[in-house]
Amino acid sequence: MQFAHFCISAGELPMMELLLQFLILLFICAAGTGVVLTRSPLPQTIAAGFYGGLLILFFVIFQAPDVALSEAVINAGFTTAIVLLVWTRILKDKT
Amino acid sequence: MSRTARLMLFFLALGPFVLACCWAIAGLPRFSGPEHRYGALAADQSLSASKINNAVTAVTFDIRGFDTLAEEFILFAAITGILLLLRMKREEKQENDLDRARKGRIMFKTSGAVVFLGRHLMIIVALVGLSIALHATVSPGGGFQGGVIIASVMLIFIFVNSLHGAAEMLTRIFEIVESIGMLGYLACGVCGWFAGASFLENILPKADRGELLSGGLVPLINFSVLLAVAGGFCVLLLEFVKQELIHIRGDGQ
Repeated sequence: MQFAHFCISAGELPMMELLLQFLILLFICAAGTGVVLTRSPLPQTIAAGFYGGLLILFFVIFQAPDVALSEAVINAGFTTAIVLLVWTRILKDKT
Repeated sequence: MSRTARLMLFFLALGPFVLACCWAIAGLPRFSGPEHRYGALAADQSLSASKINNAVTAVTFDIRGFDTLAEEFILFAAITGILLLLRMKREEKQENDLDRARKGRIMFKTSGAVVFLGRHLMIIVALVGLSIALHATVSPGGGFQGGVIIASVMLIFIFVNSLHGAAEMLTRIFEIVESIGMLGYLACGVCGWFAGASFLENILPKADRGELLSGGLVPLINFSVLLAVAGGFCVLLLEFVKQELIHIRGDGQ
């Protein structure tokens, strides 16, 4: 068990880190609500992108750099691009 | 269903849901407490048995390699489904050609700044993706993350160049790349059988910890995942962009 000493209990976490964790969770709650309450598709895509950006920070703060990397690329590159592509296609079909 | 009825149903369901959530959360182990024995065990195992510094890679590709194989097949099946849904129908192409001829649609011209930036960014992004993918055993990242980054080069490529006739050919190429990746993963697993071990057993000799190719079979699996993910996501993007090309093709650009 050479790694057992790396696990620290919640009481031993530095105050700063706890504050960061609390703040990021608060921001994510607000941003998620914002995404749901945005009704128009184009602003909603941008809001979802911002929400994804907060999720990247969340994963970094909770020490999961692997997940943060995947979230960054999928969110920045693919979700936004594919949603925009589909949106333009739907607009073209309407006209 | 009317709005009030839906709201009623929502609030009716909200109560039991919140109660069940509270019950489940109360049963969780304490936050970042010492009760997480699996974490300590996995970190120990990845250092001593797998000889990999990055415990996440050790868990995904060595300790739980079979789960990752299933995960790769989920991605493969999803992309196959998208290929099937977005396939070009014969009448679709003709109708849209007529449409466009009637309307005289013009394609947007890409600005010089975007072309300049894109052409230089493509190389940098591809190198960053390769670096993240190949350093899976020593630093955060791996085949999946690197593969997606490399596939995003495709996105920049589409921004910079218009894909006139190349879309079909590129789709073919990346389908083959994806398949090679999937087969590579399976081959890594079957190798174990020929060595008299079980499926996906880590039979190769392991280098020292901290080396790029440490972990025996893990770098090979990692590379095949890289191929499968990069190819798969490129095919995905191309399929969605080809939906746009249905309108653009034959525009006399």
